[in-house]
Amino acid sequence: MSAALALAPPVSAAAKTPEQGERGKAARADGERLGLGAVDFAFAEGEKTILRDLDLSIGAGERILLLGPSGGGKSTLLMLLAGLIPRIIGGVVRGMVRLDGIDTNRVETSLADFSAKVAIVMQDPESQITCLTVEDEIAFALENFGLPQSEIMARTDEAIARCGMAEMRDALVYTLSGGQKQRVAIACALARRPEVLILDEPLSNLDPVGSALVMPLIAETARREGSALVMTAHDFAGFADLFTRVVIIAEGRILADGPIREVLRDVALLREQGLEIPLFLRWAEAMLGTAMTEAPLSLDEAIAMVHRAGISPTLPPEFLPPPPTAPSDAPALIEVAGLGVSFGRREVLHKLDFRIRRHEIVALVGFNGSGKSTLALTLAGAIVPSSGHITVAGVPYRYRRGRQVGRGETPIGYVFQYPEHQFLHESVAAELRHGRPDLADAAITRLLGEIGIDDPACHPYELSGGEKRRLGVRATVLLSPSLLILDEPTYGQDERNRVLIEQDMLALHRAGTTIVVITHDMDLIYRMATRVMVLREGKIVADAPREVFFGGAVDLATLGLAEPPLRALHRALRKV
Amino acid sequence: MSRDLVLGYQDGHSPLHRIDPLTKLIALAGVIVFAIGAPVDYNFWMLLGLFAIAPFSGVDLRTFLRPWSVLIPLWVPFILLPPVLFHLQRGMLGLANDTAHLSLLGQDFAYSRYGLNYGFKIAARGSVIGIASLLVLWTTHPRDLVQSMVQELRAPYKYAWAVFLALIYVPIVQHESQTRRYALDIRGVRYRRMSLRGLRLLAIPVIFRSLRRGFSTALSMEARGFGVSPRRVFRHDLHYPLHVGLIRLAVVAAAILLLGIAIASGRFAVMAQS
Repeated sequence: MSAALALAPPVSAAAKTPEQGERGKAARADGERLGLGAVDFAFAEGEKTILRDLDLSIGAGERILLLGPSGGGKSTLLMLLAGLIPRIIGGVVRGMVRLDGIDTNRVETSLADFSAKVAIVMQDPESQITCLTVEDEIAFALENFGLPQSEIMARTDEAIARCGMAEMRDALVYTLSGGQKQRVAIACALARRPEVLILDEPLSNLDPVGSALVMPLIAETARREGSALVMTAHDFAGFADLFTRVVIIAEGRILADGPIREVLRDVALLREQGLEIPLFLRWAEAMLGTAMTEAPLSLDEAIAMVHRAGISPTLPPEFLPPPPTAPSDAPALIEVAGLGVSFGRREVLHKLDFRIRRHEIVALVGFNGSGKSTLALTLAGAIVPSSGHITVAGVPYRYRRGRQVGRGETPIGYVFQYPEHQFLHESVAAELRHGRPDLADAAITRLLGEIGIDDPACHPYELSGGEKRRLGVRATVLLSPSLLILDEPTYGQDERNRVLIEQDMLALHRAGTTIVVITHDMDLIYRMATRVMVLREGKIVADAPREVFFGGAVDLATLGLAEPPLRALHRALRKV
Repeated sequence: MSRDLVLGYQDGHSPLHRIDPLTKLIALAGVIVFAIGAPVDYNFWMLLGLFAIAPFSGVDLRTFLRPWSVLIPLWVPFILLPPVLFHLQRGMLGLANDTAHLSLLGQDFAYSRYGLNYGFKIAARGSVIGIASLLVLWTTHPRDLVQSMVQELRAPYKYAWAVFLALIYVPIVQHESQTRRYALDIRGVRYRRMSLRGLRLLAIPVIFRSLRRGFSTALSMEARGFGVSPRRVFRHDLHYPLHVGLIRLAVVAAAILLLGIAIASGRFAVMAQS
């Protein structure tokens, strides 16, 4: 704590009723690292309360999974726990925020008191990068805290090695892909060995290999250091067993808080809140119904539970494999020959040759930094290739003064990884009307309502991350492009919104659009793609129809890909 | 997806990369003083000198040439405005006999010869300062610069870090702007960069995102203990071999020589009088 333990409350603190205050005090548990007692939070006095009446105690060594719908208050809660609210972000906090047992709303505490004990990795890794190289970035906090040089080097080396970043140690951080930046941000937090590690959607940008590498590492580091771990994630199927407790928050309130197996057993609550329900949990619920006394945390556990209940495992209709895709003899929409892209001396794409037929849904997958976004932007005509040719609908791309000209009559839609890049107008309504001036006000209101946006006059930049993504997809889809390219469209979306985005994509596909989707979501690929292309270090290392790709012809692990959960279920049941 | 950005540090091991940051800052200061103070003819020689040094920076020709696409359009108003403005104010400036005429598309344009000469001088001085600054920017790792400022110049580290952030923000803003241009191209938006519409479409979102990113970066720095300790630790100490010291001495001597030339030219005295 700060040397001057002044008793005057900070400006942001405000008193609660005596009962709430007592409840806040009573909530403190032994071994608690961080705690909240009857906390309310609003960004300004008189404004909407974002967090309401929160009681939460985070003990040493606890591993808490924080779940909730988009816009439910998860990120705000994490900012509060990290001390950024109200010290940097501002706002009005009522109730008790305890750091090592001291009420920081009564005893003056600085952010330094929090940052010495609590490390946070925020949702957007790009915006928290401070230094130029990976090594500098990881050492940054350690240097700030004045650790001995030998200790800084040892911890930096260890974090780099454990996060699998030895090859990019001296790489310039802004040249890395989104997923690589996310790994850097996680490595930074791990190197600090904090008492409480807070992670806001740390895996949403990572390739399957990155996730598989990083998540056990986070849990192991937390275990080794005795750190408490608080993490949000939409898709937690692959690592549910690493957590001990689940907290569900929606509309700023805690709806459930308890041991993970107990909380996840209430599948109805998860469904009601539009949360991503792991496939094995949905299947176990379908098989066991009310007989499911506790939630399984993996597919193996789910199958074992079903067996123990004396039920023969089957596949209810919703778990059947996707219908096979018919072999296509449609003409090619895109033809790529000898395509190479270099930035300065760095060759990002190497002599690619492929064709994409009309009406295909091509999933472009691969490690972070393999060149997927560069390929997508080149196909869209934004990047001028250094060699080779692209032909779209029979019209070869031509370039003049660094710009592609003469695209012909083929409209191309592109949904960016960070949707803000594509917004052109000052209101969400105008954004939808771009290219569709025929849309009436009522239609705009309906279209926005479907994606959870109430105010047509709202500026697109004022939306939450998830809302921006949905708006980006919807505005692009409305143009009915012949070719739609989407870069991580379901990134950071909860189940409800993911389904909305997928429905938009499918509707467009049914209308004849060819789709190229960059994604790490293996489930989406398994259900929707007709063809899978894998990129590695700028080269296509696998390219096959979905059935062939997932039919055993391709070794997913070698390509750094995880098995889609639905396929894993089918394979497991075949063995049974 | 990322591109090598022309206004950021270019990784390398060239002779210029190996010179320590403080020496390069001294050299840059010398060049700037010289560019402002020395007669313009000397600046053309300095420009040639910088072109001669450029191959030792390890920066490839394309990167070296790219800033000119920005510098040359920037010169245009500097070269064209003084002849017109000086001509319009010729009475007040005592340039009544300085008028020249240019026939263009059947029209006769009067301009000030002195003004045209003045414009070229500004462009030459600007080019010298611009290219010298870029050579330092390309070959100096911002981290080394911060450490050098803190440990050698004894600058408070928070201020040194502000310089660092300014340096690394240039490529970040450039990267943002590039991605935004991609988006505008893909969405089929036609615009001219120097128009009001271009400004609204390109610059305003980039500035907005950059400002917000600045806030996020500050947040991230604070959350990672920036400013916790009054004295910041650097994981490596600055150890320079003897030849670096000798190079620094030589650069200091050269900077003094440039300063001497600039003072001897008498331009500073004229500037002080005016």
